[in-house]
Amino acid sequence: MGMVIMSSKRPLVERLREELAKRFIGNEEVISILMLNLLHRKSTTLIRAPRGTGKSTLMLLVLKGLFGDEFVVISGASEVKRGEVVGRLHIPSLEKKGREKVLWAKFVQAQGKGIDEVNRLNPYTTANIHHLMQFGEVWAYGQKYTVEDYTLIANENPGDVTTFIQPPPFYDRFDIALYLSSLTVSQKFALQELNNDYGYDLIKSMPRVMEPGDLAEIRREVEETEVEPGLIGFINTLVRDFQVCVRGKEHSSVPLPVLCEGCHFTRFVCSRVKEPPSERATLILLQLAKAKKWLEGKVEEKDVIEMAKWVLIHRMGFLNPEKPLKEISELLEREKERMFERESRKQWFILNELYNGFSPGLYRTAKEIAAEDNVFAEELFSLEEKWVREGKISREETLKVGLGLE
Amino acid sequence: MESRSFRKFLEEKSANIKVERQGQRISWDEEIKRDKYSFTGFLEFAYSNKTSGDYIYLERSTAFDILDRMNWMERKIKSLTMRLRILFILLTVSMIAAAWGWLS
Repeated sequence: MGMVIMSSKRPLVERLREELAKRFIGNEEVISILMLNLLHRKSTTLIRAPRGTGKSTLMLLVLKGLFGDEFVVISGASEVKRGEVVGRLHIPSLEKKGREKVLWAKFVQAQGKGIDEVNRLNPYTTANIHHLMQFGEVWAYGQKYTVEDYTLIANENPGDVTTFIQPPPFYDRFDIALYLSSLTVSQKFALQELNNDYGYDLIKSMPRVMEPGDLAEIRREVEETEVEPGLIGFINTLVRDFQVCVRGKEHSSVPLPVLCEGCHFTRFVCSRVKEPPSERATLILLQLAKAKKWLEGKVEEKDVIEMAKWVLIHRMGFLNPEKPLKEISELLEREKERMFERESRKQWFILNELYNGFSPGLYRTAKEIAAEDNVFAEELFSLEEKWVREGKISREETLKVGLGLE
Repeated sequence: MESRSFRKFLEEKSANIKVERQGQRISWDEEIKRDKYSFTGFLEFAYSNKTSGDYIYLERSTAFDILDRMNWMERKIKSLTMRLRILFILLTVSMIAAAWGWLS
């Protein structure tokens, strides 16, 4: 069992959530995951919603709650210049001393960063921000600025006719993507009441909840929080389910569903994932699990399934991309059943026994299980390789040959 | 490469599994939920009009029995298809002959 840290900083996060709830109506599920995502270093969040559903308001409320007025927001809709995002030359230094001194933009220096309508950023700005998110640094005039810890919240309306199509690796840099829904009738009443209470300026009324060192301290504690190996295994297996393809989808030019024709595993989620998620998905899920444990004292497998919705949705290409939220929810429902079946089959126990030593009877059972689980099959393939080398089995009797994959 | 944390995960998963070991043999009990409307055994399910449980258990001997029956049915279908074709040809030939006789 990992140690649960009872932090003195936890009430600050609770207060941030309360202050947010006082000013932002609806979308409670989204707020919960957003709160968790703020608790790890270099946190990045993408808010996706149609216009007028509160994505900019939510972004500003969170940044104000964490950083007071010390945050910078750039807008993709306006003409953003490189000097405003990365840095510009200090002209007097160049004129008087012939030295290229860079004045780094407030955006790279600020811990709180916001990007309004990220889908309308020009490619040059996107490339600079992508580099910042990827390497934690920015370059201008041959000089480098290393960016410390930050919180970046961006928003976009996917339905907008955008000026530029941002590259998928750029979106992959966002830890989570949240989808906001429009308000119900009763929620509209509640919003009108809030606007009356706060003089039609929700953002201005938002108090700063944390002092500069608080967030850093929280993030350090979250990083040190331990999660049980069983839950880490659950996260890794879940992400692998969305990545795995026994026919090598990752390096194949044959598109889905053609590639799946005649495949033994067509009923699994793999057959509905065109582009698998990156490894970053496991890292983010682990961060969120740590944050949940730090904040609430425990984290369970069902929490991971809930979190996965927001971690995977923007990192994957679906076979049916028309309704991404519905599609990912359906696939995760299937995953719940699959995880239950794994437990029922005792497959990890059998794999553990096989790791401890080869047994023909258990190997036969493992082969039967592998026919029902491609992730388990992969693990068995690697053990088979070892046994073939050791002369315990022949290549002809391996599962890989049996499934026609070799 | 064998990962230490992966082995730790496998060991943790195995720790709560209750099994009986007798020499090389490992056995365990499986709890099967069943009520009067759901069957878990294949044969009782196949010969009833009730719904199945979440899992249907098939013994090896039953599985091979089903396989034999399926193979027998496939052979039967093939031979019947052949008979049908021959009969169709015979019918066509006799109809042509009859038509020829009637016309001449």
